[in-house]
Amino acid sequence: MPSSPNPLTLNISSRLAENVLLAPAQDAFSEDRLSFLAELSRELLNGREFRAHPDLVTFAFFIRPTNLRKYLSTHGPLSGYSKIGVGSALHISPGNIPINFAFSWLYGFIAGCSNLVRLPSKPSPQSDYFLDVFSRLIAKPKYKFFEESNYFFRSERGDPALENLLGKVDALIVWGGDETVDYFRNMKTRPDVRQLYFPSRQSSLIMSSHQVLTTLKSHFRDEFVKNAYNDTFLTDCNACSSPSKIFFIGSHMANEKASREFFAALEAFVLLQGRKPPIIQRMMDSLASHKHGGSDLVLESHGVAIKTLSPGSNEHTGGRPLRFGVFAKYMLSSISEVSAELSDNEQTVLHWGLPERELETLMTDPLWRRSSASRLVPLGSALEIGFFWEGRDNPSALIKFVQKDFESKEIEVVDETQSEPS
Amino acid sequence: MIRDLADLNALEHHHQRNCEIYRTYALQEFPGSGVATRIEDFPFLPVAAFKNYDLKSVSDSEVIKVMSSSGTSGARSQIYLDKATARGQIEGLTATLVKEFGKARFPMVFVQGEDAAGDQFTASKAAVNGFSVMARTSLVLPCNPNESELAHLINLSAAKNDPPLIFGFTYNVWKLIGALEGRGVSNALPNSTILHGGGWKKLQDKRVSSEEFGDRAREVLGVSRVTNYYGLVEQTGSIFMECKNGNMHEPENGALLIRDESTLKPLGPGRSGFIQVISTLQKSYPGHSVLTEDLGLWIEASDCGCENPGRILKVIGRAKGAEIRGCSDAQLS
Repeated sequence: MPSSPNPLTLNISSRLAENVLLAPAQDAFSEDRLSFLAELSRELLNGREFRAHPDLVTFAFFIRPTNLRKYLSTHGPLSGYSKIGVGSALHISPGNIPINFAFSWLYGFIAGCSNLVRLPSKPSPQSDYFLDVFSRLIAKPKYKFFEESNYFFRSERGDPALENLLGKVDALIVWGGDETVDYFRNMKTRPDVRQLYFPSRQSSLIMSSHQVLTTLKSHFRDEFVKNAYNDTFLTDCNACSSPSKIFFIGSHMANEKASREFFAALEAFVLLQGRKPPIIQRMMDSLASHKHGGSDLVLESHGVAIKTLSPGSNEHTGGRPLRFGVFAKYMLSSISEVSAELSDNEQTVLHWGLPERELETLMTDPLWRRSSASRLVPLGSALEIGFFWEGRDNPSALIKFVQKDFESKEIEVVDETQSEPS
Repeated sequence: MIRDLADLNALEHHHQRNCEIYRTYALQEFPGSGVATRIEDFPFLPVAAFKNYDLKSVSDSEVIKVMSSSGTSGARSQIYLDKATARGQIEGLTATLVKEFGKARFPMVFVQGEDAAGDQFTASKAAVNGFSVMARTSLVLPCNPNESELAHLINLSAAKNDPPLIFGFTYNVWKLIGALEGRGVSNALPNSTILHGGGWKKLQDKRVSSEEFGDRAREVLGVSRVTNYYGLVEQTGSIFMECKNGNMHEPENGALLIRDESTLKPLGPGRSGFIQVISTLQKSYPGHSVLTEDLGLWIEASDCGCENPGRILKVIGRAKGAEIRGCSDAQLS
């Protein structure tokens, strides 16, 4: 861990922040940026203590050249256009996902922007480690420009210096819940500011009950349950992409059995982990739900960590937050019934044990098409954040496509003196 | 220790009927709890609930006081008291005090912190009210007394055959000791007794052990006995008083459970977990069964040697709250 305060986490009013605003935008996806990311990945992966933080490992692997090239293969040169960063980008990262700020920064960096990154207020080993490695790297003379055009800071909500920056930047990237998004939407910004918001979302998991039962009896059981755990309790069932609605697809009997056995297996796995499940936070949510007809809710207990409610028999599920181990459980006979149950703010739909053709059919359902769902990915992938998120290509949203045509238009000059008299 | 669960079942029924927030909570978290036949089967509220919600089981017109916690760790609990509950709490405190110090009334010194100055009815003020019943004379003393207040205190030592009982929250008493020490005072109240409790977190942060607390108290105040107690503002009136052997016992009107930090299942003797306290005094708010954020363990009363039959509580300290992960309620700062 770094032993001294990180030079990057200076006060927001520092002149360094102003310098970032003045830094000229650079070419998107440029070789020097890719080289920097490759070196950053290597340096991050070299750290011994770093291995304890899977989120940092994920980030370090994500920025490896092979992965970046895969993404860039879909972004070939565009004839007649230059792609450059939109300018300065201000990133507001959430307070309780330690390494999210690094992904946000990456979107802006690879797009050629200069970046002002507001860090979570609470330092974490992951953010300290990242910043330590990052600051060592940009101290190299060859990366001097990156040092001047990337700035990480902490600030309070309502800090006048932050508000000042908001009015000057070319792009604003805001992660967090709806409240955070609303707060920044109402702030004074440039009229032409590019805005990327990541508001509150809900996610789902659809599973074939038959396959669930088969897998739980097979030697894939542990991996299956671990994937379910990683997608849910690893983030206290509180991440946008963590499924809070579980759809069991099959016959009535198979659904009942699969539900019972799935939640029992997940509950047992949760209790085996060293981390305390968020039971007390769940209890606090129960207190809050009285405003939403909560006394009519019937929660089924699956042990201590997991409770489920069945929307079919509960009229007021909308008010009770589905997180901290409370799931909505749906028993459906066919995948075609799923789209009607998706939330207004659906994001990720995870699947397990369903044939590809059925998933394809789901994606053509008019209700699915009208929904905000932007991912249909296998169980175990909930937290795999990528360049494409919220249904958009985020780096591309921070790029300015400058049309270029260096040849003058040919003009046919008519010499009127040569023309014959009519 | 609570032997008969009928009163507690009646109290549970009363709160579920009269406090909508609590009813919603209990139905969701403890469905089908019905009439409990074991103390561990009663629903319990996380102590943070009192910091976030107005929990009351009586009408607004019946509330005579709103008591707030000392707020040593941030937000303050709000406790709504009606006449019956306030009276029950005072009677509970008195009974515990009589059991430990006898029926004779004695001079009392109440050490108060900075929060005593405001209009708010704090737990500290409630304790003064409660314990005053036992006082023959009372001296309310700020933890950082001025010269005239100090003179009043020293005058008390003149009555050597009538040593006072000094009561205050642990941190306030500690500050008083420091203030007196700074003025070169020693042996201020020979043979007196200190009764202190709550607010250990601040002393733990300053790395002050109970031994150091006792040594300095004996040196500066000249006390012959230092008695600690464990209690919550949410359960004023039901305190775990330290006996002469230095063990804190369950009160007559209360019970103690320790719950596993991961599963919240009740644990047997000697195993550490969250401290849950149960009391029969809380009628105006559902504070009869509270899961604290403190860690501790219990051991059998028979291990003590005193005659108090209540389970012994060993407080380990404040539980380290795990930071909640996820972006659903991402915080701005």
